[in-house]
Amino acid sequence: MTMATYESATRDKRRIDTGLLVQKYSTLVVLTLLFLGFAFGSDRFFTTTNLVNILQQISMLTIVAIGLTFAFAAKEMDLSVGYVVGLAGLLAPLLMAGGVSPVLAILASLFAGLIVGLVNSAIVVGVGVPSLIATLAAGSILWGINFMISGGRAIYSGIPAEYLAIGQGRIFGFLPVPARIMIVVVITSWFVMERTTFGRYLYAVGGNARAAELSGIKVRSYRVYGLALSAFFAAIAGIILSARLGSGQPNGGEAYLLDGLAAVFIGMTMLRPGTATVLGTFFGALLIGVMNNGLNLMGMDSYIQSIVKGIIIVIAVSIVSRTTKLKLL
Amino acid sequence: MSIILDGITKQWPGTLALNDVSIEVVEGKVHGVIGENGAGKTTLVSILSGAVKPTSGTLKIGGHEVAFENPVGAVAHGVSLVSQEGNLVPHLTGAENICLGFEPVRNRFVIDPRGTQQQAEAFANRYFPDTRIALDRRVDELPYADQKVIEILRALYCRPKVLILDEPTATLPAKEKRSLWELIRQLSETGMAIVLISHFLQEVIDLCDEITVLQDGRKVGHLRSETDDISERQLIDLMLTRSNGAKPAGESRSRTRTPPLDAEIVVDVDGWQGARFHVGDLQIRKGEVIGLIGLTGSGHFEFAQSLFEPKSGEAGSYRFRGRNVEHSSVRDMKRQGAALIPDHRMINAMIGEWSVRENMSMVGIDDISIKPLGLIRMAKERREAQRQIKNLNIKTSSCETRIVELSGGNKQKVSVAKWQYASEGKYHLFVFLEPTEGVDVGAKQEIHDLIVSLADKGAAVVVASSDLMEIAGISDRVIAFRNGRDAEQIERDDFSENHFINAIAGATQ
Repeated sequence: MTMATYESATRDKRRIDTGLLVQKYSTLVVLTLLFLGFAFGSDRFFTTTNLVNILQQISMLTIVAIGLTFAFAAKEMDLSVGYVVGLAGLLAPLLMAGGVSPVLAILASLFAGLIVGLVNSAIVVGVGVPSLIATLAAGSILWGINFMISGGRAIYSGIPAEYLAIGQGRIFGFLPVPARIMIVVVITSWFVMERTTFGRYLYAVGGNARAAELSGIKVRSYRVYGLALSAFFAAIAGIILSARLGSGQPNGGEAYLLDGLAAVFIGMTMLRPGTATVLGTFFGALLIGVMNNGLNLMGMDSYIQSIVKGIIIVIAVSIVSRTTKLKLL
Repeated sequence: MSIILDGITKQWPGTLALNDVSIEVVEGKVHGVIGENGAGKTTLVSILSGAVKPTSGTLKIGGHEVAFENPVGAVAHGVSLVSQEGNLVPHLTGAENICLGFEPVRNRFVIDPRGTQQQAEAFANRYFPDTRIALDRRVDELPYADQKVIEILRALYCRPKVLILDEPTATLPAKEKRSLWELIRQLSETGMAIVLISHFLQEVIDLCDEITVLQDGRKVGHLRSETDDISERQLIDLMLTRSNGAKPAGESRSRTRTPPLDAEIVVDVDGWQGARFHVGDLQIRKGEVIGLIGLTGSGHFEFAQSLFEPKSGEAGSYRFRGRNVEHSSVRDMKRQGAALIPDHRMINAMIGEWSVRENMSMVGIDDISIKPLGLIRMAKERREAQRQIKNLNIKTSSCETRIVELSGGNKQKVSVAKWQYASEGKYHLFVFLEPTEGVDVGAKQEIHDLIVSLADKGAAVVVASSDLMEIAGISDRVIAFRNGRDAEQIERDDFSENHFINAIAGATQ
């Protein structure tokens, strides 16, 4: 059996070598082509206002996708992130409507996200349910909870201006606050994943759990961290979302699941093929953001965007699974 | 119909798994294939069953040369495999598994469940008239022995002319074993050619008309029950003897000094028991290399592994550096100074996508990072990796090369380097499992020197290996295991391949 693994590994290796350059840079090439295409296709695309706008638009998606990257690094799947975005985006406005201060409301929302992540990981790591199934179920439960706590209605009233500034403000200079938060999240996460033992161990657990265990790494703990961070980052995105919309929406975050997964998958074709990386995920989110924005400007309907996005996911995952054994369950 | 393998060679990257092996399996005969770990049995089965293509050599069935593109091709040519791990569909019934792909149908394409059931039962009755198996139940609900029988029926259902049985009795209780042996005899009488891979030597002797012995990918023996009077001892000799009359490697050992008898005791075992071993009384001191030998399944690997990874089911007294380690985790053992260099290194020790540097620092990266945040000092990480590469003479184009691109020997050196990385002298016990598995001859010596040098620096070393010459070359003391017991202790003055084999086989001289 070992020998068979050797062979497939080397066969894969050769295949990567031939297609590696094309694959590694395909995302950047597509991104450049999109930029050029839209710049010629619409005179409003390549303007400072619009480019800043793109950064603002992708900020929540990027944060969700970075969270997923932590889960993916430990080889766990998280299908509940969209509903965690919704939960956090509802909880803060609800609390503030009840008179709680914005700071406390934000902390409570982040804490709620973390709790969801810990419950997920208790089911996955403690009980042994595959994360794909456990988080799918968690998503269903959260969807119900979101409608229950909001009564199915959007929460508008009682949101103070300080809170709205998180989503709409441009306090220093021209860069919107969500884009700044995104930049901080990307840089911090990159640093943690690439420059600390935490990140290295997380990747080790995802890369070969048995080898990690025999090297003395706390495999179970790192699986928990991966899932907990995934939900925590989704909660951050949820807060920004409700601040930006000026309201809490019971089904506000659902779109971020698919887009977030797409960003991670696209990112997995770059840098270290088959591995979810922070920078890869960022470029994945950027590609989706540029595409959405450009298609919008060119007057395409949103269902066209959905179709294009689906096709891109299939292409990205095809590339990844051609070179590595992509296992999500 | 007979099947002939002619000059089969299989080269894996860095390892020659089969080297010019020729075997003829005649119709109506049972042909046994035996050998220790790494002898090439698994590769041979993979080639016979179409899962792997040989690098060179030909395969002939009934006089015609054939090349299997995949396992389906092998079945089409009448070669069926009953694999070691089993390949039933767990949630289908026994009957459905047996008829899989050949189900009786109604209206051209609707599977007939009752027909399937009847057909499978009739089929089962023909081959196992005395065994009652609930063929209408899901196979994963059945006992292991029943699953094995269903698997054999499944293989027979394809009407094979050649049947390969890979360790078919390893998990069977005695009664089922006997009925399977009976079946093997009957099948061969009907003219089927049967290949039996087994590590139960008596079973092989009783059943087989011919026996091929493999060692390190070469055919080292071919015996016929008609003309040779085959004994278990003879088979063990063939499987394990590597010296060809030459002196054991003990002469060329790189160590000259003997370990002090009063050195600190690192491992102190007094009745340590696991599912598959029971060791009575054993002390291992600093600076000693202890070799563990035995046939496959005799418990020496399990014991060695348990020194680093004590499992919950293991009980008794095992003190590591004076501390009782019952219920200790791998992390505890590592913290207290135990290290394991496991077998099957790509599965148990390495991360294939990672570079040499990243693999190397997996154990010791904590020691080169700035606490409490765990910031990795990248330059130091690289320097340390380069130092290990130089010290252990690891052949790699750089420390950023992906680990899969290295040869077996160099991968193994990285596996050792993990436990030396930024931590000279931190580990007091090194456990090696099959240290030169898949390692070419040149690198073997270097790894042996490396193992001995660890002991010279004051660590206790335990090596479990099926290569007796290796054990003789590097050990100070050898413990031979039989049936899960530490049966015999052999001192260095008494080292000889012959003595080892006697101890393993349990024969008195």
